[in-house]
Amino acid sequence: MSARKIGLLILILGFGAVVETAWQVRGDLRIGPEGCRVIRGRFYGPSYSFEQTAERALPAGEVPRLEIRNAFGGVSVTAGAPGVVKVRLRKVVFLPTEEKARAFADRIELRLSGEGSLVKVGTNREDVSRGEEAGFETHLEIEAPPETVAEVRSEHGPVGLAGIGSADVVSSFDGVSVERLAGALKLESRNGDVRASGIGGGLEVSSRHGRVDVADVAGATKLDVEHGDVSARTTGALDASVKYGGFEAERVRGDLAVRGGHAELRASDVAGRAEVETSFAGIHLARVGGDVRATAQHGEVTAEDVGGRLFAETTHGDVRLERVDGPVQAIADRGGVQASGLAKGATVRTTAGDVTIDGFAGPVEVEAERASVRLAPRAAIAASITASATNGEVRLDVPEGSRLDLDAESRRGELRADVPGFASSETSGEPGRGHRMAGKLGAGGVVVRLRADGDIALEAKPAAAIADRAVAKPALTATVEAPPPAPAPAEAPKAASPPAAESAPAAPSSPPKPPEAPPER
Amino acid sequence: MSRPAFSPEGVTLGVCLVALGILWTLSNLGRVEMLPVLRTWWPLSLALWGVLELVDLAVRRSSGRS
Repeated sequence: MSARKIGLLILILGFGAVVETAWQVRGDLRIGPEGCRVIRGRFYGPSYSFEQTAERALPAGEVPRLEIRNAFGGVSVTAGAPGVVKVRLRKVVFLPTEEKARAFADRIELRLSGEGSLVKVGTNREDVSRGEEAGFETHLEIEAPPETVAEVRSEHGPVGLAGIGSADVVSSFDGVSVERLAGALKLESRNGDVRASGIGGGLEVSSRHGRVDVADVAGATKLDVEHGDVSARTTGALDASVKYGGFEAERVRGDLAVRGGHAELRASDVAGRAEVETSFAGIHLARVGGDVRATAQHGEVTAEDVGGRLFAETTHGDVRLERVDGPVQAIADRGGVQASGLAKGATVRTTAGDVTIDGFAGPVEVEAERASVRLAPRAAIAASITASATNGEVRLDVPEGSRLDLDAESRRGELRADVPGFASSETSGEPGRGHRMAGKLGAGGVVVRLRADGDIALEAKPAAAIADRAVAKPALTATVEAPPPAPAPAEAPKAASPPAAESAPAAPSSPPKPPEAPPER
Repeated sequence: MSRPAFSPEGVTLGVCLVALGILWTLSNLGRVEMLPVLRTWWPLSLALWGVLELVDLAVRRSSGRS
């Protein structure tokens, strides 16, 4: 191998290694203040904690409003006593000695401002952190009246809200957990997992990197998620945009609309319509009460127990359907269609994929290119059937009691009609050369028109129901599972090195705390 | 002896540079996110190079026979 090739190989692999490393640590590693490191938006190194508390009485008869700003540290808001907002600030200072840390912590102030029912909570971080003498976190633990409307802006630190009125949260670099809100939640997260459960109003979530779990949302739910999986359980009408992640929805008490990209979509028990599209992955639907429209590029579509009409379109993937109460339209480009239990007929078009429909009623029209068609109505044929297969065969089961007018032509194959009572009125050509047949079964009735390049075969079958069972209705009243435990929002970061002594807190009333983190060696 | 006009590593490097330049520009324009795209597709450069090496081998063998 020449030096040029070795050089290029090293260059490409080195480039790939850099890209993979950058992907792993994206947005996580940055140069921190002296004496500590900043990894994943948190400080690491020796630290000392100090506390400060404050409270503010609220005017009676007004809905309390909280505006919380925090850059480094957790934010926790929980329901407390009516008429008062209590705030506890925990300052975690990353300096090598207690003396230095205490002196620095004395400069960090908890600030409560605002008038009337508005309470603004923050710190003087911007004044203190100028020059970056030390790294420090400010963890805010707030108790507010249950009807509080909260607005949270957090940069580096987990956010946890529980038991208040409604919230508007923007978080940049950590997880967000919200539970038991009486009203609506609007949430924007850039990096970090999102959990929201027990939301009494509407829910709007925008997330860029992280998993999103929502459960038990009374109102309409709107999700915009990239680079993370989505799970939605028991929601109102659900509208979602999902890229580069999986999507799973259960129990949607309204319409479902999902626009996916590189995202596998799964939804079950949808009360209303389902309109879903994705690419490079499949769509899987079960128990949809209304109409379905599913489009998958480079992916398959499966649907079972659909109460309304169904439109499915795929490229490079099959369409598989079970038990559909409404009319079906299925288009598969380089894919096949397998369906059973279609109550109101189907229009099917495929290229390079066979069509099998087992159990149907209503008119059926099938066009298959470079593929074969097999139709098994199970019940007596009572509506028109048209099927054509280029470079393929057509097979039709004829249940007892069917009455039809047949018009069939096999261009290069053989034509057979093994059906008792079938009376041929016209035949022309011969097997392999334009074999054509027309005739009646019973007294005639619906038109059955079959065309194929290959064989055409009609075979008598006993009559039966078109499906083994009726279309299942969406189950929307299932017990809601408890959401997974939320992360402690205001927890101090774990030090990267073994424990060491920590100073007593600055507040005179606060007792000293056990060792938290040692100086780094 | 004249230098061969077709060099697999040269073509690979050229195509990769062109792709990287286009991607970087699209990223600056806000059309795509560069890191996820690079992370997904960078191994294709190895595949491209391998294919070109095979083509080069086949061409040299056929020209050697004739």
